[in-house]
Amino acid sequence: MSAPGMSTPGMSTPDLSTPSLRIGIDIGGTFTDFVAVDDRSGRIFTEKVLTTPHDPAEAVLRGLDLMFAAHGFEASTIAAVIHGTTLVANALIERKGAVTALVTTAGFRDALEIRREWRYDAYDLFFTLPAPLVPRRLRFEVPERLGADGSLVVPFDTTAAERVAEQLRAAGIEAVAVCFLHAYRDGAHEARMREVLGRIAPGLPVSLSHEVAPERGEFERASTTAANAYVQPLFRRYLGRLDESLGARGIGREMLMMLSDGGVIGARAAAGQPVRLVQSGPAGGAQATALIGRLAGAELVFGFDMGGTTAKSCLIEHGQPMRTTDFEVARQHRFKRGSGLPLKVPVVDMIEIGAGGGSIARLSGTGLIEVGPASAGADPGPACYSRGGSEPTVTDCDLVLGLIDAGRFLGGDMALDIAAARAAIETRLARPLGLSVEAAAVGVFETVTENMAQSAAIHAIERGRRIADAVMVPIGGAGPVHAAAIARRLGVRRVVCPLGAGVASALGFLAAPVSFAVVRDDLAPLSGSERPRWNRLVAAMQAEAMAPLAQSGIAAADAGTRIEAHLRYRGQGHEIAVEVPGAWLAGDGEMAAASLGCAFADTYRALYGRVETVPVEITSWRVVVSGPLPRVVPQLPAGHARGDGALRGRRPVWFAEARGFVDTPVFDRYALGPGWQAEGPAVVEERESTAIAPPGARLAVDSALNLVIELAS
Amino acid sequence: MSSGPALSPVQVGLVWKRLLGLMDEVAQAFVRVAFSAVIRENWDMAMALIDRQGRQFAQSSRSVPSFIGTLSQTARALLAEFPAEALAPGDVLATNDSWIGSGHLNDITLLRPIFRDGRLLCFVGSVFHSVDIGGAPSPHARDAFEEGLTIPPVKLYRAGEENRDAIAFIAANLRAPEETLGDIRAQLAAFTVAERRLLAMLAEEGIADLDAVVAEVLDRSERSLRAAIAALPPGRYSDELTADGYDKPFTIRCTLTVGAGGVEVDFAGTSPQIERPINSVLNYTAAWCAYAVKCALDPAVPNNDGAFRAVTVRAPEGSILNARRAAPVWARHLAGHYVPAAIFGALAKVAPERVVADCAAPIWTAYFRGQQPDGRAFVRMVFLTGGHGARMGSDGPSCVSFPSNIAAAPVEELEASAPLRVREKALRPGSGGAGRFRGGLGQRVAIESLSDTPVMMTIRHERVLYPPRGMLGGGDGAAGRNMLNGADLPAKTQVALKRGDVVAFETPGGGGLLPVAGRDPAAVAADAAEGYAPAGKDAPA
Repeated sequence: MSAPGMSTPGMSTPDLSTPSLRIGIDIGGTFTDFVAVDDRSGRIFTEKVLTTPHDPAEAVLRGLDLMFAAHGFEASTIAAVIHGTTLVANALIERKGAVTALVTTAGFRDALEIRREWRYDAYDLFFTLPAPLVPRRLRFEVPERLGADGSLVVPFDTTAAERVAEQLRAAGIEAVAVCFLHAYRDGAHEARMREVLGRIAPGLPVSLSHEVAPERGEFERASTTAANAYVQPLFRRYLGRLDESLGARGIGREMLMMLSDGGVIGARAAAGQPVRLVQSGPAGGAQATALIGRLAGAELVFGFDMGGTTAKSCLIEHGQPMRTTDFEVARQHRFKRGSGLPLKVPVVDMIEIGAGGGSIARLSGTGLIEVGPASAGADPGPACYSRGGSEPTVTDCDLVLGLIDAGRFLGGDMALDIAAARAAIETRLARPLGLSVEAAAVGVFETVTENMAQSAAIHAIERGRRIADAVMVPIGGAGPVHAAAIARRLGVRRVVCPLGAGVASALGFLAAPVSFAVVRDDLAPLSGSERPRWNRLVAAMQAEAMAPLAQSGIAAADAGTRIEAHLRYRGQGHEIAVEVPGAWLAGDGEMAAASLGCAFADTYRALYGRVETVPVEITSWRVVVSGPLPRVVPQLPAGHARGDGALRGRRPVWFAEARGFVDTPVFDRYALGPGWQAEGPAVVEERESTAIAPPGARLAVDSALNLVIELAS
Repeated sequence: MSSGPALSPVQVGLVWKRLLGLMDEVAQAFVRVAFSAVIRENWDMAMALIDRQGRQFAQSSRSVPSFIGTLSQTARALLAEFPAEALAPGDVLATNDSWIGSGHLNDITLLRPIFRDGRLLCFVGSVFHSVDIGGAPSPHARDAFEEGLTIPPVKLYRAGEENRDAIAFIAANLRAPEETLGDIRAQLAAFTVAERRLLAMLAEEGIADLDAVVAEVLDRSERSLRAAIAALPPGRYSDELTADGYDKPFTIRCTLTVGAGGVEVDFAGTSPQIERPINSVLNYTAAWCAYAVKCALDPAVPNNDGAFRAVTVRAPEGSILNARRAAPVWARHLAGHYVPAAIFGALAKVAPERVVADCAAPIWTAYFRGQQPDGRAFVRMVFLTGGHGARMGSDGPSCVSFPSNIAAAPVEELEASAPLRVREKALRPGSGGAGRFRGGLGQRVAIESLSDTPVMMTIRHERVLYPPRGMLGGGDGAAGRNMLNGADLPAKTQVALKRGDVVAFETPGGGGLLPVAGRDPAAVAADAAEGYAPAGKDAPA
C-alpha cells in the first residue's frame, strides 16, 4: 500500500546511469516501512508490508520487490540502504538474547543486581525489579582495581583472569561483558581481559564497558555493557542474513544502520555496539521531525509522535534532535522511571508522554477520570472499532467530539461505530459522574491532553528548554488530532503537520547524516589553564568518532564536528550542556573559560532566575562527528489540485476555545497546494490522520507541503 | 472561603493533575541545582504545595514519605509564629526544630508564600536533609542540644532579601556551610519555578484561587482511604515487636482499631523515651503511620492532608514514639522506621495479602566526616539497604530502601568525592528469611579510609540483635553485623578511622512469608544455583 500524495508512479523514469536512490527501511513490530528518495529529483516513494518476525529479511525482500516492480527500480540505481530495527529493543524486552557472562572487579559482581536501591514506587509494597540480564551464577570476578582518579591500586591478575576464562568456556557462554570499576578513566585492564578471553575462549564476542559506555556509575555502565553483549550474537546473525538477502537482489553496498541518537553508521561499525540501536526506529521519527523543522526554519522543535499505543515527545534544536545518554528499556511499569534496565548510550532524547489513542479511560478511587496506562491496543481496540472493546478509549472520545470522522478513518477503509463509542462512555464514565456523554468525552480529551502537555513540559524543563518557544511537529496517526490542544496548554504558537506522517521514521533515516558520538567524563575546574588539555581530549575523541565514519565511507574532509561541554557549579550533580565552537579551544585559555562561563550563566539564569557565586566546573564532553546532511525536499506529487474544491463538507467539532461544539469545515489534505490558506476552526483530513485547527487559528500550506497551524494568542 | 462557581469533577481532576505535575517539575529543578549528594544522588527531600490553612495538598511524586507526612504540621507551626496575613511576597520561613519539623535537626523545612494580585494564594514548601547541621551528633548524645544547631521558626528571606543575620548565624555553626546554604538557594530557584508555573496555570484554567480545588482534593482523598478502610472487618488488631535499642531492647506495641471512624493507631504499652538519640517525635511517628496504612490499604490515593484524616495516631507522651522536648532525636528513625512493621504485623491478622513481612528497616546509614586531601572538610552519608520483606505471591526484592525511599550513590561517585574506597559491595547469600516466599537479601559493604587525617565514622544500626521477622510461619531474615578490620563493632558507635582501616557492614535480610515447606521446588533450585539460598532462623548472623 502506498500513501497517496507521496508516490508518483510513472511521472518520470529515474536516470539509471548513476545510483541515486536511497532507501530507508524501518522494521517495526507490526509493519515494515519503506521510503525511497531519488536524490536528483527529490521525489519520494513509499511502501508498507507486514513484518515477518521469524525472519525479518523476508519482509524486507518482499517490500523491495514490490517497490522495484511498482516504480521500475533496479539494483544498480540504489546508492544506499539505510536500515532501522526494533530487533535490539525487542531482544531486551522479550529476553531473547545470548547466554551472557559478566566479569567485574573482585567484590562487585552483584552491582548489576543491587542497582541503585530505591523503589520506583514508594507506595507499592508489591513492586518487582527486572531480573538482571546476567544471572548471578554467570557473574565472575577478577582481582584488579583502579582508584577514582584512574591510578593503579591492584594490578590486573592475569592468572585469575585465565581461570575465569576457562570457566566461561566450560559454561557454554555465548557472549561476555566486562565492567571494571573506574574503567571510564582507563580501560587498560578491560583490554587485558579481552586479550585473555581471546586466547582462552577465542571467538567469544566481548563487550568492554569503557568502550560501550565510558561514564561514571558502575551499575548503569555494567547494565549497558551487559545489554550490548546480550544482543550482539543475535544482531550479527541478523545482519549476516540481511546482507546475504540484499546481495541476492544485487544490492552489494554495505547497509547503513540507524543509531539511537539519530546518526547512521555502516553495518560493520554498528555490529560492535548493537546496544546503540535500541531506539533505532524512534530516532528515525525524530530525524523526520528535524527535517520538517529545518524546512520550516524552526530553531526549537517539539516533536510529538502519537500512535495507537504510545505517544512520545522529543526536542529538536537548530535542526538537531537533542540527545541524552540516560535511557531505560524493558520497564516493569511503563511510565515509572527506575523500573527498567538503564542504558547509557547516546539516544535521541525521547520520552513516552502518553499511551496513545487506545488508552483506556476509567474512574479512579477518588472518583475522577484517569486515562491509561492500560490500553486497548489494536485488539480489541477502542469500543468504536466494534471488535469487542467495551471500555472507552481516547479514540472513542475523539470520535464523539467530532475530531475524527466515523466514515473516513484510514481513508474510509475502516468504519467506526459511534454508537458503540457513546455506549462505552455512557456506561463507564458519564453515568457514574452524572455528566452527559459529550461532557465525559471532553473530560477524557482534556485529561489526556493535560497528561501529555505536562510530561512534555517536564521533559523540556529537565533539558533546560522552554517548550513555549518551540514549533510543534506532530507525527503518527493521532498526532495532528491532539497537537493543537496540547500546543495551547503549553503556550506553543505554531504547529507544523507534515504530509504522510505514517512512514515518518523511514523518511527520517534518509534525512540522517552518517554520524558517530563519543562521550567522555572528565572533571576539571573551568579554568583557562585547562584549555590545552581540553583541546587534546577533544582531538582524541574526534579521532575516535571519525574511525567508524571512515569505515562507513566518509572522508575526513567531508566530516564536521560538534563539541559540547557539560558544566555545573562545583558541588552540584547535574550539568547544563553548552555548545563549544572549536575556535574557543584553539585560542586563548582565559577567553575560552570566560566564553564557556558566560554561556553557562546565561542558560542557568534563564532556567532558574538566578546565578550563584560558586566556581564552575566541566564534568564531561561530548563530540559528534558527522558527514554531510542529506538533502531531502518533499516534492509536489502529480495531479495535485490547487485548493479549489478541497472542501469535503462540515461537521460539529468540539473545541476547548469555544467551550463547546462549533460547525467546522472539513478539507481534503491531498487537494491543498502550497499557498492555500484558511482560518480556523478547520479539519484537514488525510488518509492516516486528521489535523485539527481551533477557532482563531490560521492555516496555511507551505512550499514543502506542510500544513502550518498558527494558534491565536 | 471558595470563590466562583462550583467546579466540575473534570476540572478538579485536571487542575489536580496539573498541580502534581507542576510539583514534579519543581522537585526536578531543585535536584538539578542542589549542591549536596544527599539531594542529587539520594533524593532525601520533599516538595509540596500547602494551602493558607497549612494543609498539604499536592506533592512531588518522589518525595520522602515521612517528610510529606510532617510538612503540614510544620507549616502550621511556622504560620502560628508568622501569621499569613503579615507575610509579603518573597518571604521565606524556615525551621529545623525537631518537634516542629520532621523529627531531627538535619531536616530543614522551608515555606514561601505565593501571591496572586496581592492576595495570598498558597505556599510552596520543602523539607530537605542537610547532612551537616553543626554540633556533635553522635549515637551517644544525651540531649537535643548536643545534636547541632536548632533554627527556630525564622524569616530567612524578607521580601526576597536574604536575612543576613540569620544566614550568618547558620553559616557560622556548620562545618560545610556551602553545601547547606547552596541547597537552600537551590530551593529558592525551585520555588521561583513553582510560582511561575502555578500562576500561569491558574490564568490558563481561568480560576481565581485554589480554595475550591483544595477542598475537593482533600475530601476526595479522604473518602478514598475511608472506603478502603471500610472494606476491612471492624475490630482491634495488635502487634508487638522488640527492637535492639541503644543499650537495652525496647518494645513497640501497636493496636489498630478499625471502625467507622477510620483507623486509630495506638502505641500504648510502647517503651519510654531514653537519654540516647533514638527517640521519635509524634510528628514523625504519625507520618509513618499514615504511610503504612496508605501502602497497605490504598496505595494509589494521593499522599495529602485529606488522606491523613482517616488515620488518628496516639502514643504515650514520653514514650520512644512521642518523645518530650530536648530528648536526643538525631537517629529518630531507629524507632520511627519500626512503625510500618508494627502496623503491617497488626494488619497481617486480617489482611495478610496486603502487607509485607519485616523489611530491613530502620535503614542503615554510615556517616563519615573528615578532611579531603586539599584540606576542605567533607561530610558524607552512605546509605546501606537490606532485604525487603516477602509478599504474598513474590519474594522480597534484595537491597532496597524501606520505609524511606532513598537511592544509593554509585561506588564510583562516592570514591570520587571522598577519601574512601569501597572494597566490596555484594549480596549476602542466605540472608533472606526462608518461606514459601523468601525475604530479600541484604548486602555486605566494606569501606576503607584513604585519608591521612582521621575520618570520624558514626553508625547507629538496628536489627543486629532482633532480625527482621518472618510472617505467618516464614523465617526471619539474617541479623545485621558491623565490623572494623574484621572484628565485631557495636551497632551504635563512633570510631576514628586511620588510613587503611576497613569497616564492613552486613545489612539484614528481609523476613520470609508462610512456611518454607510450601516453597516451589523450582524456586528452591534457583536459589541454590544462584547462591541466594535462604537462611533459616538458625543462620549465622
